[in-house]
Amino acid sequence: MANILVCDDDKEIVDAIEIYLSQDGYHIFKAYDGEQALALLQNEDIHLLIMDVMMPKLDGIRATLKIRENSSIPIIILSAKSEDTDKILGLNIGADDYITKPFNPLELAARVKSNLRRYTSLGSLSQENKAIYQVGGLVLNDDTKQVTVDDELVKMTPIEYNILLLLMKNQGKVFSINQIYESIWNEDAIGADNTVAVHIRHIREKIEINPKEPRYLKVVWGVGYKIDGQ
Amino acid sequence: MNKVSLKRFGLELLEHLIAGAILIAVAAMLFNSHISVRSISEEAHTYTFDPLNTDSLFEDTQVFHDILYTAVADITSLAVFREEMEINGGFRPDKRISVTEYAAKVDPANDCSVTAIYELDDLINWGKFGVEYNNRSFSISDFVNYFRPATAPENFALDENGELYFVGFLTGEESETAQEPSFSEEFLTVYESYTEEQLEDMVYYDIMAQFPAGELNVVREEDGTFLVYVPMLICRYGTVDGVQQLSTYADNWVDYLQLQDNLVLAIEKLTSHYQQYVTGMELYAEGSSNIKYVIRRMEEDGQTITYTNDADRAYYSDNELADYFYSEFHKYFVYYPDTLEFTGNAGLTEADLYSFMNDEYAYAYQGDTHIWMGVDTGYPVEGDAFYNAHVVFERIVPNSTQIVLLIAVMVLIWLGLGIYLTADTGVFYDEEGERLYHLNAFDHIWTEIMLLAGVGLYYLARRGIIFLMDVANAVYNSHTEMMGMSLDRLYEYGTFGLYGFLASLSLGIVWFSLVRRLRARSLWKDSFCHWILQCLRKATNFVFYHRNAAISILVSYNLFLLINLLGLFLAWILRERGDWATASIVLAMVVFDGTIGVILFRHGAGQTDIVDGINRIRNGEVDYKLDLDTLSGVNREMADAVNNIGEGIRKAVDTSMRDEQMKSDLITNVSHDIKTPLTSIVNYVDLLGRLDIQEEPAKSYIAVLDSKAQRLKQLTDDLVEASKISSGNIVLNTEKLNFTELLNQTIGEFSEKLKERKLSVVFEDANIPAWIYADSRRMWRIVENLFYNICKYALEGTRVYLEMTVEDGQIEASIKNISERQMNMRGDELTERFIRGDSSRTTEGSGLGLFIAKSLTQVQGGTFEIQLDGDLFKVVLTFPEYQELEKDET
Repeated sequence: MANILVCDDDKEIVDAIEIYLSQDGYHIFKAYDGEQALALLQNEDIHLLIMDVMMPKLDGIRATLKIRENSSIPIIILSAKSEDTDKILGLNIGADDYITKPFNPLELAARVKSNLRRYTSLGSLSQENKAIYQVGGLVLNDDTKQVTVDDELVKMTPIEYNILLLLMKNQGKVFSINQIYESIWNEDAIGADNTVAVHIRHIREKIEINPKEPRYLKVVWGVGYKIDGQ
Repeated sequence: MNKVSLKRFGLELLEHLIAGAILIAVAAMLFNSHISVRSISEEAHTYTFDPLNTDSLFEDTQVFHDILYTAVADITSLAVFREEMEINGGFRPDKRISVTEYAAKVDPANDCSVTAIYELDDLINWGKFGVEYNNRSFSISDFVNYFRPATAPENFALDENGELYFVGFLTGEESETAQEPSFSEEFLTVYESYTEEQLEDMVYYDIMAQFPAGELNVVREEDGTFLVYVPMLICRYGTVDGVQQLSTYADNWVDYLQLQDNLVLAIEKLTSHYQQYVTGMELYAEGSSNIKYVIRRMEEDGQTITYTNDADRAYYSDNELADYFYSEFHKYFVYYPDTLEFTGNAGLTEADLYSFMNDEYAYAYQGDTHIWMGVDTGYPVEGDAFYNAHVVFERIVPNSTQIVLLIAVMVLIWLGLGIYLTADTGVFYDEEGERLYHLNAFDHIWTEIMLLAGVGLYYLARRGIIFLMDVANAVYNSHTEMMGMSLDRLYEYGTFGLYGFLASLSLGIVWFSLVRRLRARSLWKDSFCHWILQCLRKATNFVFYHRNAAISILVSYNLFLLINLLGLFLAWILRERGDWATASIVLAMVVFDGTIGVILFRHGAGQTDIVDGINRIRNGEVDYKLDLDTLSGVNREMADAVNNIGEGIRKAVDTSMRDEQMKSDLITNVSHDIKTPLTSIVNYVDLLGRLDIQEEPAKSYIAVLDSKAQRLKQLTDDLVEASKISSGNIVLNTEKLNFTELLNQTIGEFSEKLKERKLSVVFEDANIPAWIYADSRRMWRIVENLFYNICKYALEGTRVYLEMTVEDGQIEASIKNISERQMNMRGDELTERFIRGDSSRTTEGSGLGLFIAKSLTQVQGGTFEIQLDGDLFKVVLTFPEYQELEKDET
């Protein structure tokens, strides 16, 4: 299995993460500051790095910058800083994901899995098929009418599938509730109220690791919904 | 009105009523002690009894004496008139009156050589009609020769100097009957040397010299001639000779004018005498008067004429008459002036009688006259003066003691009440028995005004007494009208009573107020002088307190005036020196005044700048600084102070913002430090949960740990957010968005949670677009918090109402739900930090939800209002509607 380096100055958190990820079969390396992490990365074959930001000696941000100089392994930042600016900073300097403390262990496991899959296999999944729409780990195959998230099949109702298809076809474009209703139901939007919103929520619960902080199907509040093509 | 003041009111009313009653009693005495008596001259005489002199008999009173005095005077006059009017004891209208004889009897100076005789009734009628004159004008020549030619030489003679002079008309008159007069050569020479006109002038001046100025008027006409105006009587009646014109009897102007005057005298005297004669004959006729008289005149020829109102005694001898009057009359007198005999007990003196007979009518009493008079004190004749006076006397005098006593008693009561009320006025006792003084509104009127009112009232009272006397006199003069009102008794007494009441009332008001002021020591405090002094003192204090301003403003202002006046004065002094001096002074004044004007203008402009600066600082522009270089003097000081204040405010604001920032940072850092151990707690609780623990309590303990750990996480997040908002430390990413769409999306997001609580959402306006310009994530946070609240606190199974209105550029969204629990606080309290609908803090939530929602709303330019009505919980959000214009600008 994959080797994962967990780096945090709080030993108990590192231990807990080890327990969780070991259950999923990963092999865990542990570091307690940025320098240790850099040393381990050089000596061991590490596939994914989970790293805190605030650490002694070398903090997570500078460590990430250093790692990115010669490595492209997935880096998940695990930080108590939950501000938008912190997340943006972390993602901009080269981190692949950002999880705030305290975290949900299941979410952490899912994200580790998602990032590993993309790192190891998705890069080669570049077959030219027009009926296949892909955003990150989310793939919609219109030929087979199948939706997979990180290679795992997601069950969807026809309406949910059609909404997702509409959004996937037009990545980055924001659709209002009325627009979605009119194109899916093919009728006037009067009386649509919140049907669409409920469906969107259901879709999010199915394809997102954390529906409250969706990676794919994003809510533009007061405007509509979109699939973010990054 | 309380009991005490009611009692006082009653007493005061009683006091004034008593005053009215006193005046009524006085009126009763006044009205009943007067009598009005007619006399021969038609005048009504009023007599007053002295009601206090109760001892004397009526005959001893002054009134009796006065009435008798009047009656005797009347009768002595009446005897004269009877002689003039009567022949043999009866009135004779055809009695012949020789006017010159009559006039000469009245005054010997009136004697003249000619007379005219008229009948008595003609003269009286003439007098009633009135005498009239015809003002005739003559030239000098006509005047001189009116009766006959006057310039004949017979009328002239030569004096010792050989000058011609006018001798008189008599010369000419005699010459008519005598032989031809012979004139000396010398006389004729002189006489003929005079012209006719010169002779006429001499006659004219002689006539004029004999008359007092004014009887004849000489007027110089425009052409230089003289006109003589003569008032000539218009003869209404002819003489007994049938001659109409009076001029017939005279042959020159001197005689004519004297005759005319005598005639007029006779007419006027006899007319007046006739009227008194008629009245006297009625008043003192036999059987209509209680006074009897006999007046007997001895003529020179030994004959006697007797005038009496007792016909039976007309033929008594003098001695019989004296015995008769002495024996029959209680009050009588007998007077023989020729032998200086005077006896009697009537109270008259010989001097009185002498004056009656000799003052006016001496001419009529030239012969020997004997007089007997007596008053019958049984007063058998009703209606005459003596009888009436006696009746009044009998009525008032015996009762006057009681009335006087009554008045005295009432005056005592009035005084007593007054003293009591004076002692009582303005005093009352509070609950502790403390003596207090009370002043009413009237007592605060300036003392001077009150004293003036007192003086005015005194003056009115004086006038009132005069008025009362008029009323009383009207009463004596028998029941006439006054000021158009019939003076019946009620009115007369009412006037007196009202006067007494009002006088007492006015006196009471002023007096009691004075007493109250003295008691409360406010006599001086409430006076006008005191007020003026206070004003002066305040003004002085004000000026003294602001003495710097007073000195700087007043001194410079006065200096300015002084210099201007000096300039005017100089210009006036130098006005003689020529134009250049005046012009240069005027120029200097213009320059000086102009400079002052510019200084004042700059001062005013500087003040405007300062006020402007203060306003800018007040409106939040704390960095604003006034430019000190453009200002000077006091303005500069002020501006510097304003700048300092502004700087102080800026520092304070900076400090407070920095403090808020530090607080926010502190909370953020603390929350990070909390989150790290919290992560371990959450994770290990989770790990614990994964262990296969079968013991029941342990499992539920783990569940509690889990939920509390989650809540701790939520709390720290909310805390950080709340502190960031209140420190203004958030960045907004505003964009155009549809509030309705946002609500619809939110309903979708919360559909499961709402379903769990069996809450149904009613949103009628779900298709009304409501565009606003806001940060969409913050808007979501607001609405999310509100829906969280609903899911947490709404009563299960109820409906949630959403409304959206777009009006006047304002978008208003309201969310209503029924609360599950009773809310015992105000709507605005709910939005304070750490406040929740229930005061216990056991359920999940940080208590910051509504505070965050409200703060975020306000940060984005909206308003957030919570209305509580019983269990109805209503949130109203308003935002300005998005305008396309704004987009163009951005």
